Amino acid sequence: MPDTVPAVHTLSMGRPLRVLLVDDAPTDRELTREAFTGHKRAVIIDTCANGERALSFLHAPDTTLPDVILLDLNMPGLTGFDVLAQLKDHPRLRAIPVVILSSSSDTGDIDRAYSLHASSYLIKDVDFQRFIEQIDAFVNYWVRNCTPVRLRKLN
Amino acid sequence: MPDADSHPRVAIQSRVLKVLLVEDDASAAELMEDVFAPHTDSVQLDIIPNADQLFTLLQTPGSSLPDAVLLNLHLEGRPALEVLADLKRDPVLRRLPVVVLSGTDDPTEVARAYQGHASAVLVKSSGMDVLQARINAFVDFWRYSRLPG
Repeated sequence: MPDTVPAVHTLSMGRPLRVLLVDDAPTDRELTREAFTGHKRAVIIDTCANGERALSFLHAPDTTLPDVILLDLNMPGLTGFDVLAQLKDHPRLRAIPVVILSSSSDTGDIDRAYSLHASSYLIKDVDFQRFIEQIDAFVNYWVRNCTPVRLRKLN
Repeated sequence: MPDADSHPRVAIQSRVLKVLLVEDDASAAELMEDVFAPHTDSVQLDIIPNADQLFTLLQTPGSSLPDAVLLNLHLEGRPALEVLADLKRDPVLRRLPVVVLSGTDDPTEVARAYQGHASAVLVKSSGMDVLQARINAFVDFWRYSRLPG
């Protein structure tokens, strides 16, 4: 959506969107980073290679919390569902919106993610050009939404 | 879902998105109809004026659920965050993504909505062009998202 991209740089929040990407597969993390290339000025991406690291990162006192989390489901150790459940059970971190980014189109997985209060569920398209379109839609949506940017001050 | 569908070629929704707007202010509802008007091919927008009707509609046996709910944060009568909490307590309805429409970007209100498991908070103030861009982005994003069954 090249026509909508320029507007991304005039964010209502006046700063780049901060995204935390949680995915155990290095090639998938790289691919997702690449899909965000068109939004370099509008998005800052932090990455964690598994669920445990993501939770440590989010709990660390010096972490700048993300506006939105992009979370893989199928990970060794803590799965995406485990991470989602722990986040949504935490009094402070529960307010961070979590978008699932998975290759699973299993309706059970989709329903479970929404039941655990995922904000939405994206199925990674195997066609990279279409995956870029998904990421464009993700960015254009979240830069226009309000996220709990002053979360820490409330707790 | 069969394994053959685990790697879909096309991620975008091919069917019409059913969006249910809970808005008690008639002029605000009209405004939303206007900004959704360019998307009539891909979105069916239904509007109900209060929370009681929302639950009546959603809990009617056999009625098909919407894909997403747009909930005005500043409803007269029952507070919208209570409505959100009731939806999120219900074993079936909790799966519905609820996007809260707010007239303000007050950080406390925004955080409360997210803590109540709003899917997102969309501020409806600002000019018409800004609102139109926000709704266009909403429609686009949800067409790329997979929705609960």
